[in-house]
Amino acid sequence: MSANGPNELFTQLVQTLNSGVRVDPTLAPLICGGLPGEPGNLVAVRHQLESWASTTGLSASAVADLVLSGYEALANAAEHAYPSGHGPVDLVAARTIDSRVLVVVRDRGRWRPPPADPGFRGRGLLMIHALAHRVEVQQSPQGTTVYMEWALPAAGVGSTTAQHE
Amino acid sequence: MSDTPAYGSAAPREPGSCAADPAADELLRLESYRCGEAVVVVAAGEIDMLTAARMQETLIAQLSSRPALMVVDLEGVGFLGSMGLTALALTERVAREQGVELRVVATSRATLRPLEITGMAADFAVYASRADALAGRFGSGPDALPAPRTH
Repeated sequence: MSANGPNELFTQLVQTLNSGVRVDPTLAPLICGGLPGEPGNLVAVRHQLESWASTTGLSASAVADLVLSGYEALANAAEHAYPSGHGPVDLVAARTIDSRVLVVVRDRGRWRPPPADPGFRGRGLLMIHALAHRVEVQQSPQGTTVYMEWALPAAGVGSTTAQHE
Repeated sequence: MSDTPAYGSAAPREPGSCAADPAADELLRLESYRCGEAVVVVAAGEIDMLTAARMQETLIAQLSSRPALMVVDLEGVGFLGSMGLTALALTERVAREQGVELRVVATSRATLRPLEITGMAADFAVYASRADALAGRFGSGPDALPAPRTH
């Protein structure tokens, strides 16, 4: 579905809301592009995100928050961007040289208006805002991009010590 | 677990190449049993888009026998997404309509954090163990939650 290679996708998504960002070259980012937004795919990405995030130096609780936020963003994209099926969803995650961990999720549809019941779209976004250190949601006719960021603890980068809560 | 795509790999990824196909049944196990006037539903695994509907069906089905009390034990749940919260909220509403008292066991950060940040912990009677939930006894540890509202 995506004409972009992973590098272009990565550059595009990471720079979108974050121009001038410098990715830490010592940790390979996670790049999942053009994924059909089906529940079975999303859980696989969640598990990959969890494995990846646990190598970033974030605390175990921050990893859990990141995984939950990333998944909620994916679920929003899958549920709300494509009323008639499972359109493509992109996710990239990276650590920056200034000790931040970024997760960006993008769809290429238009979010439907929220249902009368404040169901899980509203709840998912509320959770993302509560869990991430910084959140931006950018909506355009081309789709919606959710940008989430966590700050590493002061001694985080390069530390491989066991993470305890 | 280390199949993170290498940054700089030249080939474009095929759609869906990040995904595997997990077995939904293995992702969440649900077990229900009767305990006197109570029904206990024990969930273990991950509650997400793939599994929340099945949990909701189980919970609603168990309510239809009109027990005096339903305990939903989430102690073995390692992931609770908003779809799981929605299923619990719906269950709470149906339980209230049917006059069934609902109690939730949540002990780990994985379940308590989503309940707390959405304000839902205040809507449920949250207990620290299945035994406490069955006995209607709130724990007194440092993490004990305030007593629930009475409906």
